[in-house]
Formats: sequence, C-alpha cells, structure tokens
Amino acid sequence: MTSKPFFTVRVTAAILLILLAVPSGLWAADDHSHHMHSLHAVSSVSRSEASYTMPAVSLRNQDGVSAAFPALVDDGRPVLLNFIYTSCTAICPPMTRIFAEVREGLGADRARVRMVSVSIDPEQDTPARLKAYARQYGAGVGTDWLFLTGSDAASSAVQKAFNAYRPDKMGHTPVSFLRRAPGQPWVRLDGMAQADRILAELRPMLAK
Amino acid sequence: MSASALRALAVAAAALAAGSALADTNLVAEGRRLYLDGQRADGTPIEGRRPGGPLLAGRDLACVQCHRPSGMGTVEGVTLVPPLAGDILFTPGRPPAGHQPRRAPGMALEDHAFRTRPAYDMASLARAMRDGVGAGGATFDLPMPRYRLSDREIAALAAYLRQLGATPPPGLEPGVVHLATVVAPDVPERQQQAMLDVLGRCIASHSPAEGSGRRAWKLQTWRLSGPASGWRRQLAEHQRRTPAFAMVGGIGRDWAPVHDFCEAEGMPCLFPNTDAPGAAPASSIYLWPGVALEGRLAARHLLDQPAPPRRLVQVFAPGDIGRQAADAAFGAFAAERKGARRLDVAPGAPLPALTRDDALLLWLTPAQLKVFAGHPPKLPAGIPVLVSATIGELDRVSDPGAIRTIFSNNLRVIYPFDEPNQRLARMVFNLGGWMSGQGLALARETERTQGNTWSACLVTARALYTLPNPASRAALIERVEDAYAGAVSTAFPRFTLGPGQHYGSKGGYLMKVGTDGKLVPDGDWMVP
Repeated sequence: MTSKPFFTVRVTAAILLILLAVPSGLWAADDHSHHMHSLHAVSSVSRSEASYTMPAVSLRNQDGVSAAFPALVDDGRPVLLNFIYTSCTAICPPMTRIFAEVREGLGADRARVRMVSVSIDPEQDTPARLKAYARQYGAGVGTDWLFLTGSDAASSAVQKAFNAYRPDKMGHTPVSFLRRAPGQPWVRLDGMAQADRILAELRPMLAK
Repeated sequence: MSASALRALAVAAAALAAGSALADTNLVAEGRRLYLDGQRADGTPIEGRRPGGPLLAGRDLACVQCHRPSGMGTVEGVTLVPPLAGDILFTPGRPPAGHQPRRAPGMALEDHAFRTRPAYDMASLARAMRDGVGAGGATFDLPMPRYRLSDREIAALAAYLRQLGATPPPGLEPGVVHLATVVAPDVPERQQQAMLDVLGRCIASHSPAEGSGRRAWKLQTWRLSGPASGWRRQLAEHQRRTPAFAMVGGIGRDWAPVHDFCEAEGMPCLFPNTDAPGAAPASSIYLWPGVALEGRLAARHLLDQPAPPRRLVQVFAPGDIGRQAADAAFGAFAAERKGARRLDVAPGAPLPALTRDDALLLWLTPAQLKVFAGHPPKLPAGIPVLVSATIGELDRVSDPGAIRTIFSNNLRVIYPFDEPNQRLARMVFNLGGWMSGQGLALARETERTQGNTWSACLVTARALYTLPNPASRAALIERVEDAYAGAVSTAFPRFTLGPGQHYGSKGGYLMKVGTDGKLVPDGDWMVP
C-alpha cells in the first residue's frame, strides 16, 4: 500500500518534466514564409462577364457623404467592387484584406482605380463603423476606396443589380467585380479571388 | 516506511499535483489568449498568413474571428468553418448520423474533410496550424491562416480547446432544456399576461416532443417582487433552485438588475420586453437599444438643424427610465456640439423661461404628459420640442394629434418603431392566424408585447433547433445571432443581428403630426 502514492508522485513529476521540456519559440521564420508561398489555395474561382444596370439609389460613404450610386461607380476609372459587412466573421476579413493587398500591389496606380465595398448590413454599418473598418485595412482619409452604406432598400437594390443578393446576409458568398469603364461589361470573379488574380484582371484595364 | 517519511511524501505529492494543475491552468490561459486575442503569453501578437497573402498579426488572426467564442465554427454562404470545441478535434471526424453523401448524375457532393479525417494528435495539430494541412491530408481553404506557433503554443491551444464547452451548462439535461422567463412587477398586469400567453403557447407548440430524441423545452416563470434592489438576489435564488439554460422573452421596465444578473451569470437572456436594456450586452440580446436610442435619435435630429440649440432642457422623473434617454441624448449631443449645456427638470417642477438657444425634450409617461400639458409653458416660437413615443406610449394612442395642440408645430415625436399602419398589417399577417388558433387576440394596447414576444420565441426556437454538441451558452448566443430572420413580427421595420450584434433594431423615425392628427414620418428612417 505504501508504494502506490510513491508511484503517483513519480508519474506526476515525470509529466511535469516533459511539460517543462517542451521547447518554445523555435520557429524558422524565413523557411516558413517561403514554404507558405508555395501553397496553393484550394478555393476555386470562376470568371464570367455580364452587364449590370446600376440602380439610381443614393448611398453614403464612410465620411457620411451621400451620392447617387451610378455616379460613384461611373467616374471614368476602372472599378473594383465587392459586398461586405463589418461584423462578418469568416469571409469578409479575408476579402477585405485581399482588396487591401490589391491596393498595395497597384502602387502608384492606386489612384487610377475606384475601389468600392458595399455593406450588405447597412442598418448596422453606419458611416462611423465603416470608417473604423476601413482604417483597420489601411484605407484612411481621402482614399479612392469607398465603403458604402444607406437604406436597407438601397443596399438590396445594388446587390440585386449585381446578382449577388441573399435574403440572409449569412448566406453571402465571396465575389469580386471589375469593370474597365462605364458601358463596358463587368468581370465577375466568384470565389475567394486572391490579390494576384484580381491584379491580373485589373492591370490590362489600366493600360492606355 | 516511517510515518514521517509518508507525511513528507504526501506533502511532496500534493505540491507536485498542485504544480501540475497550475501548469494546466497556465496552459489553458495561454491558449485562451491565443484563441481570443491573437496574443502570445508574453503579449506579443501571433503571426501568420493566408496562402499568397501578406504577413498578418494579432487580433485579425485570432481563432475566435471565425471559429467563434463557442469554438463551434460557423457557416457563411458555402464557406464552412469547422467546430473545434471539447474533444471534437481529438476524436475522428464523423458524418452526421443517417447522412448519405449527395449524388446526382455526373457529380457527388462529398463530406467536408473535417467529417472524414482521423483524430488529431499534437503532431498533426502542429502541421494543421503551421502548414494548413488537416489530419486527413486535405489542404485547408484559403480563409484559414497558416500560423507561426511554437510547440508550447500548439499545446496551449489544444488545452484551451479541450476544456471549451466540456463542462455541461446549467439547465441542460439529456432530455430537457430548461428555459426561464422573467416577469417584473413594474409593468401593468395586462402586459405581463400578454407576454406569458404568447410565450407559453409558442414554446409549447414549438418544443420537440419528449422522447423524440431531442431535448424538450421546459419553460418556467420567474416572478420578481418588491423593489428593484432585491431582484438580482431573487434571480440568483431562482437559478440556484431550478437552473435555467437561457432566459426567453420576459417583461419589465427597470431592467438593470436583470441585465446585471444575466451578464454576471453568462446567461443568454433573449429579447425581453423592456424599453431600458443594459449597455454593451455580451450575453443578453435585446430587441432594440431602448430609450437610450431615442436619446441618440433626438441628438441627431437637433444636431442636423440649421442652427442647433445650445442647451437641452429635459423633463423626466428621476427614478424612471427617462434618465437613460436624457443621458444618452446629452452625451451624443455634447460629443458634437461644443459648449453644450443641459438642464434637467422633474415633472411638475416649474420650467425656467426658455430661449431660442434651447430645445425641450420630454421623457414623460402618458399621465405626466397630461399634467404637463395642463399647464403648458410659454415657449419662444420655433424652439424644437421632442417627445418620446415609447415613454409617452404615443404608439398606442389613437389620436396623437391631441398633443400637437398643446405644444407647437415644431413638435416631433421620437418614434423608434415601424409606421403604425405597416406595423399593424405585419402583426396581423404574421401572427394573427396563429393567435386566433390559440384562442388569443391581438389588441392595440398589447400588440407590441405580443409581436415582440412571438419573434423572441421564434428566433430562440430556430437557435435551439440548431444547437450543436457540445451545447453551450456561447453556442446558443451565436445561433441566435444568425437566426434573426425569424423575427417576423416585431414592432420594428428592420431587425437584424450578426456576430456580436446584440440589439435587433437600430434606428427610428422622427414623426410630425399630420393635418389629420396622425403621426407621419418627417424624413427617412435614421440610424444615429
């Protein structure tokens, strides 16, 4: 009977030693980032072209300024557009991050592209919330990246115009839209299109 | 072995056991920090990247962003975020019982890899976190970051996940979910009964049958009594004697004691009928932000005037919910108007002489409004007068035009509900049939309570139907956040929730009194 507690003590001690012996912080950063670049995304992207009619609704940007949606989109520059909401968890953060990467990737051409993110939760996404969200992704004051909100009806009308409407916002899927100029067809990328994919579509649109 | 040697050994054993428990606690705490905040034990942000993306750090990468506080994951569109809580990761994935892979000519929809993978161990978990390759060899989808984590950090995450949802929550038995509803004594008996009638019948008619293999829902009513200062103790006593998993509906005016109880207990308290919900709810989910929202609507309206006032003169009973409205109004107003001043007046106390720099805000009950109107103050022409529809119950009176004659043409009613006719039409359409089938009737006095309670029940029902295993209160809250579309009969024109959104309706109208004496919106629905 006396040997049993002794045994327990030794086992406990052994577990403790193993636990303490676990190395921490061993991580070859350069190796790993290199390794990650070699990975391929499994999400597939499907490309299509379509013409959409912009609804004449008024939306507000992250600074609270109202304007007609067609005027915001048809300013002559190539447009990159998506639908997001700020409290969205799994899809929007990567989608918005990818748009931020596209901006980075454009470099000096950044000002030659109109970027638009339309909220599909306009009741929650006030201009103030959108502004905070934009800042999180490096889109500060005076950028060419608009975050738009407005009435529920206006947001729905825009989603429907782009054939991207879901009655329940939790049902939304990742999709990016690009267009060279007013009157031209929209390129639609269904799926989580990555920055290099979007840039590959966008760069020819910037060519003179 | 001598007695003293044995004693020494026992002491050493206890010390070591305590040490190992401490190590476990530390590991779980480190895992919690990684999971919830994206922070390492030393406070530095974790790092990682999505395939092809830039290096990211910190909160953006925290597991909770997608896998949610419950660890039960989520579904957005066709993006599935797998569950991780409890022993899920450490047991082999399993297709849902009775589930067949879907097939059609030329195509088959296979089960998601997390349902067919083997159990994780530390090595495969490390590979998953660092390289994005699951235990079954499948590469993770793009949204899942590839992390820079040490072995210790992987172990910490595993320890945190193992205990997540592992302790069964109160009020949940193998065959029963115990639900509670709260009735506070500070609302009229008629409203209490309207809530209880709809909720009791709705829960009974939506609950899975006993013995159906799913948990049946049992509703208990917690009646509060005496002054509000004693309610929190009474609630704790109810919870101790007959524990509830969640609170549904309920009714009360001064909701602060119930709110505090729910937040402290971590109890999901879903859509009580109150006009004074608590601020920053974590475990409570409310129909709307209450009269504080009316205060912010009033401030927005006044700030948008060509010449905004400088002073808010607000009349409210000190011990009533009008104080919340007045504080919110002044807070929002002063945030944008430099040198803003406030003057609070109790109902019945004389008003000072007002000037063109003032706005008058009345957070008064119907009885107080009547008294106030009996001795109407002399007001300078053109000063704004704002009245709360909620506290004044102006959404329930048939002829609000009577109040216009008392004040001025600058009167606006702060109206955080749907337009009266549309609201009634929707109630009748979505709720009328069910109610008459239950032997109940919609009544003008109680339709707001009835419609809101029906919606509270339906949203809760949807969430309970999809409650995952292990079931936790956090998981219920997340399911409710996703189930808002069930709120088809609230008093509000729009009702949406989402991750972390805990007020369903978020805006309101400013109404003016039309020539026919009816309230008509003066401008668009506003979200302040």
